[in-house]
Parts: sequence; structure tokens; C-alpha cells
Amino acid sequence: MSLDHKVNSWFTLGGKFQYANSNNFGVNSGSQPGGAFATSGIGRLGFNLAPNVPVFLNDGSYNLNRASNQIGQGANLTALQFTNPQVLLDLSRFTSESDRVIANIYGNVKLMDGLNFRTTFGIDNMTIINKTFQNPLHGDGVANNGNAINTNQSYRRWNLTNVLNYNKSFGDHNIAALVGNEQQYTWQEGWGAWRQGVTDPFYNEFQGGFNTIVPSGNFLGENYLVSFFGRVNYDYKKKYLLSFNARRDGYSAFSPENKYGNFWGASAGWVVSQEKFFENSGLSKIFSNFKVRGSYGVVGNNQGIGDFAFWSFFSSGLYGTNPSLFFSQAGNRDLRWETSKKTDIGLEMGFLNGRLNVEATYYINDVDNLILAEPQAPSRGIPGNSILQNVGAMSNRGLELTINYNVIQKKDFSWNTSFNITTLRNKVTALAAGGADIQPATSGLERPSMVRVGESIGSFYAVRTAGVNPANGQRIFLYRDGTQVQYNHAAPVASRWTLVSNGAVAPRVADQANDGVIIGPALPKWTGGWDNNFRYKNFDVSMLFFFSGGNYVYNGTRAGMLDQRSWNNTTDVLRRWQRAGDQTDIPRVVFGDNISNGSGVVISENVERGDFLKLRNITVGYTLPKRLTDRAGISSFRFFAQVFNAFTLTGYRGYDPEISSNGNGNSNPSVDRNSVPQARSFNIGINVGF
Amino acid sequence: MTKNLKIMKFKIVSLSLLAAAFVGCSKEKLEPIPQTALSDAVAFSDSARCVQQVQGVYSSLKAGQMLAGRYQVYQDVRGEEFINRTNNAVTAWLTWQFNLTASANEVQNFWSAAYACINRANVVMAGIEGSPISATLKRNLIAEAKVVRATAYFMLLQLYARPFTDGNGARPGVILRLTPETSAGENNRARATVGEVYTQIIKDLNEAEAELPLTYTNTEHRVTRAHRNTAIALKTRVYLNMGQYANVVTEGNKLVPNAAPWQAASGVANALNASIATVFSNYTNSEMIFSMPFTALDPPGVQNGLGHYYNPAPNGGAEFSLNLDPGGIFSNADWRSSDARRNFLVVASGHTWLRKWPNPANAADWSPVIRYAEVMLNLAEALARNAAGTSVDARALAILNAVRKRSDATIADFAPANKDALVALILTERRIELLGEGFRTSDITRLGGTFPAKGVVGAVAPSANQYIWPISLAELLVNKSCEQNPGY
Repeated sequence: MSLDHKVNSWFTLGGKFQYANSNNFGVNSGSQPGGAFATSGIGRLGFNLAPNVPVFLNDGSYNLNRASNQIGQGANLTALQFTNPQVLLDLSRFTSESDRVIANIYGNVKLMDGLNFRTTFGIDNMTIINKTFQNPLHGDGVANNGNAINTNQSYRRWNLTNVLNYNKSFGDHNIAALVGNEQQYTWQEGWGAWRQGVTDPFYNEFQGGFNTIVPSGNFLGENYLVSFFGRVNYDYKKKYLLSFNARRDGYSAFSPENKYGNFWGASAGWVVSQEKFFENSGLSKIFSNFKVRGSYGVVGNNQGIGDFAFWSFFSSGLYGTNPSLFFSQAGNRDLRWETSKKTDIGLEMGFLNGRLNVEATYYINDVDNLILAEPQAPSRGIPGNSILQNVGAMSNRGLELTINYNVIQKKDFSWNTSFNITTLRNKVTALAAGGADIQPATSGLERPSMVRVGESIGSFYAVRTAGVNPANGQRIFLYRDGTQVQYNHAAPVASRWTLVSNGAVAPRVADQANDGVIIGPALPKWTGGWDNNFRYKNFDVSMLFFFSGGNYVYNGTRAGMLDQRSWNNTTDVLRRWQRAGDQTDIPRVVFGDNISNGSGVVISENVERGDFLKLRNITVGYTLPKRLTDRAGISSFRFFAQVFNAFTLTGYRGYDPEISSNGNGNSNPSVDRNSVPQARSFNIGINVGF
Repeated sequence: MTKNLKIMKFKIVSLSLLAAAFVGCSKEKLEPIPQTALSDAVAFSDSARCVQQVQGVYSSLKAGQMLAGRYQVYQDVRGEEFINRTNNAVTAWLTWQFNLTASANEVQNFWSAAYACINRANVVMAGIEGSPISATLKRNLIAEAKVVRATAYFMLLQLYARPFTDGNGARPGVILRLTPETSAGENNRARATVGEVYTQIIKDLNEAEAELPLTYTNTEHRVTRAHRNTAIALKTRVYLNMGQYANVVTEGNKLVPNAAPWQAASGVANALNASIATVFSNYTNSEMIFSMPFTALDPPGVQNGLGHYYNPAPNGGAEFSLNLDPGGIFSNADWRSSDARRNFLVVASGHTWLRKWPNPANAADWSPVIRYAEVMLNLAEALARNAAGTSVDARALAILNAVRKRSDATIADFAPANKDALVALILTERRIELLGEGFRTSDITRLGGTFPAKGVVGAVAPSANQYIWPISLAELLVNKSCEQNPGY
């Protein structure tokens, strides 16, 4: 709801209020960052459970192996390693409810002609309540005989902005200037409790009967951002455009000597098509509009660090029943703003009287003082084995192109199409400790990603493989110098790794540390979309395609699906090597082997090209004729049907090349480990206007 | 005209006042102070905080990756007594089948946790040294931190380095860090030799013995915190692993008398308890010299406790069951069914499980570090080996019989024919008495033995590269002076 009220000729008051409540009810999908290897993640259970055991036994009870807390093994010779998902779906529960209020109020005073003062105060408050119940019969709740965890999180933010702006025209010269001040304060708090051990199997709510209670989900923090800024825009006849801005920002999480950063930018534009020489030459017959623009700016970034990032402190804990204090954060008294230098050069062109518009921009975005958790040698014993430092530098450059064309614009039929593509060349240009590599992990357990100077961030780093040896069915790995070795899980411990050339015992295992090479970038080199909107009389159709490529995706899920422990495999395993002379890409199966498939060692076999084309959205709608709706007092009535994620064209062997098991982690993108793919959804609805 | 000017002046003045009220920035908000932690400036400011810091050092020794259970499990599953049931790379399956790489999670996590413990001890020692507390309390607290540091270095050597007895300590050991690390600094440091690390361990324990309190008034602290007898007991273990039997005898004699009653003569009255069941059910009994406590608010963590590895569900994860083949101690003919220690073995779902730690994770049993029976066996072995020629040392034999008869009162006394037979009996007694408590790897490697085959895993001889663990990959990525063990 929003409101604007003109009190008198010089004072306007207004405000906006928005409330949203959302309620999520689901299972542990194992697709949140950190959950990729959870044995109860539903995504993983779907892939890896043996297909030859039932969910229910013949007497109707769940198929369980109570002693190992896993699904019962049925007729299989060895015990299975995963839980029975039906019990989790029936008896465990995860809900999350959030309430959010976003509101602001403003006052605008017209001081004199062209001079305005505006003050705005806004709030953004959110409360989230998470409730989890893990049943005592099967799954994660068995160890404690049932867990009920309720946590409450509050986020409160207020924002105060004061801006004085001045707009004036002097003949053909136009000036718009502003100065302002903004403050933002954020408070976040979480607390909750974890009750363990149901006293009766009937209870499944937090308030039921339990034996033990311990705290859970506690956190407390605050941060504050203050800015002083100004901007001047000048144009002459709307033909020559100039702009300059400057700001000084302060953020509470930086060290006392470095709280503030100064940033500025400038841009210029020239609408060439309005020049006399352009209008007189033949060019104006081709171009309806031709504009050249460029800009340069230094921008600061403070995102992604904790509220007390520069402090060194000691936290409290317990040693049995006694209180303890321990060193918990190694701080950095030099922590300061990250800066990016952004340069843009662009062209805007119009053709065919403005029906066809083309915009092309070349951009360079160099990030400096990149804040990285600089890895420390674990032998130093620094908490978390890392210290936040401003040590990285990264460069991004590329081209953005947008083409917009009103192909047909008739009374009964119109078609508008819009195409855009962005290219990106990302390169890490500096890191800490003399350029030492950083290998971020997926949920703490696997490290296919590499942050290395000279490469795109998060590039994949794997041991090269060269297929399967037809003589013995063993997968061939390459040492960094190219020597071929092969792995046999069935051999005695000391002779599992042998040389392909002569079968002698290899001097060492093949692993990432010794033999890893950069296979390719994880960040897409090009992305874009193609949007088409058609209208025929009262029908409308719109289609949005999205494409992306030039990168690789790490198919960790496939590694898991060829694992030779008691895990389910894909049908690829039917073409495994079985006798001398077989040419295939699936090695001989040996029970317990988790090396040949890429679970124990990250192999290049599982790093796949990630190019794809998706039909993101197709919508068909029909608007009732005006003469019908007018009679009912409605101004418009439209039916529509849409499909999201209708189809994907890709060579990627996994479910979805657009997956990221690491969520928004900025240094380890495009990793697919046991995550649930994006759903295809069908919607129908109506739009009514009054 | 004047009226408009007046109105404008009024607007400007009132707005300036309003603006002055709103615009600006708040200095205290720009410099918030964390409310849930103490800054390094005040963390050692009084004796209560200094004692808490030392409790924090102990806490890191019993971290989930360390003595909460994983260290003992890694030691034992490399031996022949246990069979892995879950094939789970997160719970010691790779350790059990000697298939580790530098990136394996037990290799990286244990290394990281042990050094976090060592740095905590170093930070606390330096902080207490500079704090305004009494000199006696300073000496006691610093000595406690030295015991923890020595224990952590000992644990690192057992897994990542060749034994002292192989080359008399000349082989590469682990990295020695003795000063606090609290900010950015030098990451490169080479490995010290095994001998240099053992020298530091002995130095720490000797200095601690001189400065530790003799006892504590709080009975729990007599088990959860170090006292003088703790340092002496640990020295018997360290010297035994170095193969320096004469030193074991010197230290052991400080705690173990010549005959029954088997009880320490001074300091805390550590003694051989009459019932082995009580040793594990009464956490603060006098046989326990050093043990790590757990509560619901301070549990071992998921998949970390000894109970998780050895108990079947619901209290455990049924990760490792007993090896019932002829090579396992379970089948030993001399270990009679009347022996009270057989009561720790229970049958469930067709397998036999070790139930020394039967309780669930949120009420976990305390994790033993060192107890009087082990000190007795350390001394007995050293006495037996030091005996002249092939004679049987009488005191060693008496100790062996005492430990056996504590659990199996009616068995006939052992009567070995010669020194070698006596040593063999003592080594077997260690396997029975200390089953599951984290000794098997050390007992095999200090004698240059071969890890026997078990289940589908073959034997591993000392010449094999897999005899010891690889160094953590995370260390090698940043520390360019650290060399990896051969074969990895």
C-alpha cells in the first residue's frame, strides 16, 4: 500500500507499507549449502538408494535395519548405507515461517523553485521461526531418541536518508545536482532451543514431553553504514551529457583506522544523431538515434563479512560442567573497504524510426583489495584456519549487447523481440601469501574448485583420467608429468596403484595435490536471453529463452552414482568392463571402490561442459473483449497459462546444468553434488483490473 | 515580495534545524562492541578468567576430532580387532582399509584440530604469563597447559610419523610450534624430526611434573584436570613408545608400589579398582588418572564419540563390530568367559559389539585418556624387557597377574617360562584390557610389527607407505617447507 499526500504548495508527505508472510513446509532436501553429503538429504536418497528393497515390509511396517539405523537390506548381501525416506516424509517435519514488514515515510519540502529537500525514514523488519522435528524411529533423530528444535530469528533494519536536490534549466543548459546523507542500521538476533529424547513416542511437538533441553541457533550482531554523497548532472540541449558523483562511506565492521572509504565516478554521453552534420549526412537515414557514452567509477564493497570482522576475541564454552574461554577469532586491524574500478564504453543505436534499437557496451570491472579468508597453515592453529584480509584482486571484462525490435506492429497482430547477450572473462589477478592457491570445499568434504592467480575464480581442478584400460578394466589416471597409472581396489593395500606401462607398483597414489590440473572455468563465459512477445487480437504469447555456456560443471552427483559401495548406480554401469578387450568408459566393478568413480579423488571424467539453452518461461494468455468486461464494471480480465523451465537442451549428463550445491558461495560455483534440480512448473491464473 | 522572502527564510531555517537533527552519523554505532565474546585485551584479566582459559585448553583436547573418540578409533581400527560395517568415508572407513590420501577428511581434520589445541595452549601460556594473578596459580595453570600440549604432540606423532624406535628418532616428525599465533604471520615451517618432538614432549611433562598441584579439592577435577601424577603417568606411556624401558621403570616406580595394594603413594590416590565395570560406569573413580567429561550441553558431537563407533543403534551408529576371526583378541583361548571384561561384549543383529561406552551421544560416557591399569602394564613390560638375560622379572609377573585377576579372580597365576613368553603375555593382556581405548596402532608400530589382515583388508608391513598417515593437504597447500610422507 502506498500513499502520497500533498499538504500544501511546498510540502508533500507520503509513505509505503508492505507486509509479507510466507510459510515453508518441507523435508531436508540436502540442497542447502553445507548439506551435500547429509545421509538424510532427500535429493541424495532419491539417487543413491538401492532400487531392489521395498519401502514397506509385507506386514505393512517400514523396512528398517534398526541396529544400523539404515533402510533394511532385503536380499542384498551387505548392509545398505542410507535411510528409508518414507519414514522421514511421514514422521519428521521442517517448517519455516517468516513475517516481513517493509515500510517507509517521507517528507518533501520545496524550498524554492528547483530546490527540494526530501527526508525518508524506512524500516525492514523480518522475523523467522523455524521448527524442526526429527522422529525417534529412524534417521537423524534416533541417536537422541527424537529431536525438536525451534529457533527464532529477528532482523531489524532502519534507514534514514536526507537529500537536497536542485534542478534548473538556464536556456539550453540543464543542471541537476544533489547532496545527501544516508544511515543504515541493522540488528540481528537469533535464539532457540533443542529438546532431545521424547518421553513417549506420541509426542512430536516442541512443547511435548522431552528429557533434555540445550540451546540452539544463538547469534547476536549489529552493523551500521553511513554515507555522504553528491552528484551533478549537466546536459546541453540533451545532446551533450556529463555526470559526476562522489561519496564517502563508513562501515562498522572495518578496523577503526579504516572505517571510511572515498569513492567517485564520472560519465559522459554524446547524442551524435542530434548533431547538424549527422542530420545533414546520409547517416540520419539509416540511424534514427545514435549515442556514444562512457563512464568510469570507483565503487566500494562491504558485503559478505561478519559484523565484528576486524576483532580478535575469546568466546565462552563449557568443559564438562565447567566454564571455559578460548581464542575464537584471529582478527585483522587493517581490514578495509574492497574497491572496484568500473569502466564502461557504450553505443546506443536506433534504426527504422526507432523500431530497432541496438545497445552495445564494453565493460571492465577490476576488483581490488578483495576481502578473502586467507588460508593459514593449519599448523599455526588459527581458529578457522583463515584470517580475513584485503589481499585479492580480480578482473572481469566483457561485452553486453541488447537488440530490441518491434518486428510487426499492426492493429491485430504485433510481435516484439528482444535479444541480449553478455560475455565475461573473469581472472583472478592477485591472492595472499605470494599468490598461494585457495581450494574452497563443497560442504567441507570435497574440493573440486580452485581459486588461482591467472585463472577464472572457482575453476575446476582435477586429476586427468584417460579412460579405462581394455586389458584389465582399471581406470587410468595421469600424474602431472603424464605418466599413466591405474587403480585396482581388489589388490592388496600396497599394490593398488600400478603403472600402466609395465604393471609395476606405482611410486605413489594419484591425487589432486600432486597431479591436479586446471580443467576449465566454472563461471559461464557467455549468458543471455531471447524474449518474444506476440499478440494476435485478444491472444498474447510470450516466450523467454535463456542460454549460458563456455564453462564446465562438476558432476559430483554422477561420481556418487557410480560409487561401488552399497549405492545405486546409473544404467551406465551396465556397460562396465567385463573381459579383456572390452572398450568402455566404465571400469570393472569391485565392491567398496570409491576411487575409480571419482568420489575419493576428483577426476576430469566428471568435469563436464555446462552449455545449455532453456525455455525459461512460456505464457499464453487471452484477454476478454472490452465490451464484455465494461458491462461488468471491470477494466480488464485476462486468463493465462504458463510453464516455467519447460525444457533444457544440454550435453550435461546431470539433471540440471544450472545447479549450485554451494548456494551463493562466490568462489566455488557450478558444483553439482546431490542437489535437487529446479522444478518444471505449470501455472494457470487470471489477471483482473479495476 | 517581502512576505515570500520571509516564508522562504522561515522554511530554510526550520529545515536546517530539522536537517541538523537527522543528518549525520552516530559514532557509537560505527564502533559497536561484540556482546557475546571477550576482546583479547581483557581475556586474562583475573584469576577466574585465567582458570577458564585453561579449561578451554582441555576442551580442545577433547574436541570431536580428537579425544572425544576419533583418535582412539583411528588407533584401534587400523589394528585387527574391528571390522567396518558401514563403508562410510566420514567415519574412519578409509583409515580401516589403509586407503587414505592427503585430502581425506580424517587426515585434514585431525591435523587441524591437534594444532588448534596446541595453539590454544601456547596462547594461554603466554596470556597467563602476562596476567596479574598470583605466582603459584600461574605456575599451576601453565603446567596444565604444558600437559595438554605434550599430549597433542604425542597424538600427532602416532599417526603422521614413523615411530621413534625406527631410526632412533631421526625420521621426519611433525611441525613444532611453541609460541602463540594470533594474527597474520609466517606460514612456512619445516617438519622437526621425531626425536626433536619427543624431546619437547618430555621437556613439557618434566616441567609440568614439578609445577602441577598434587591434588584438587574438587573430586571431578582430580580426573578432568592434570595433577602431578598425570604428568608422571603420561611419561610412562611416552617412554614406552620411545623404547626407553629404563626411563619407564624410573617413572613407573613413582606411581606403582612393589606389591599390592596397587595404589600411588603420593598425590592423588590413583589405584587399581576392584571392579572393571566400575572403572567405566563411575567416571570419577580413582583408577582414572585423566578422563574427558561430557554433558548434554557439551557433547562429543555427531559421529564423534566412542559410543557412536562401537554401539549399535539406537545409542550408536554400529560403525565397527568385533573381529571374530582367529586373529582377533575375541578368539583368544586364555581370555575366559568368566573374565569380567567379556561382559563388555554384546551380541546384536548377528554381530558382536564393544559396549564400554553404552550411553547415547547426548549423555555420552566420559572418554578415558590414561588410567592406572595402563601405567601398571607399561611398567610391567619395561621391567620384563629390562630383566637380565632371559630371566622372568618377578615384579613384572606380579603386576601382570594383578591386572588379570582383577577381572578374572579364579584363573591360575601366569607362569611364563622365560622373558619372551612374559613379554608376549603382557602384550596380550594390553590387547584385552585396553580394547577400544586407542592403543593398538602404537603397540604395533613401536615394536616394528605388521598390521595384521582383517576382513577384506590385507596385512600392512612397516615397509609399506601406508604404515603411517599422509600429511594434511591443507598444510601442504600453504606451507611450502613441509614435506609429504613418501608414497602420498
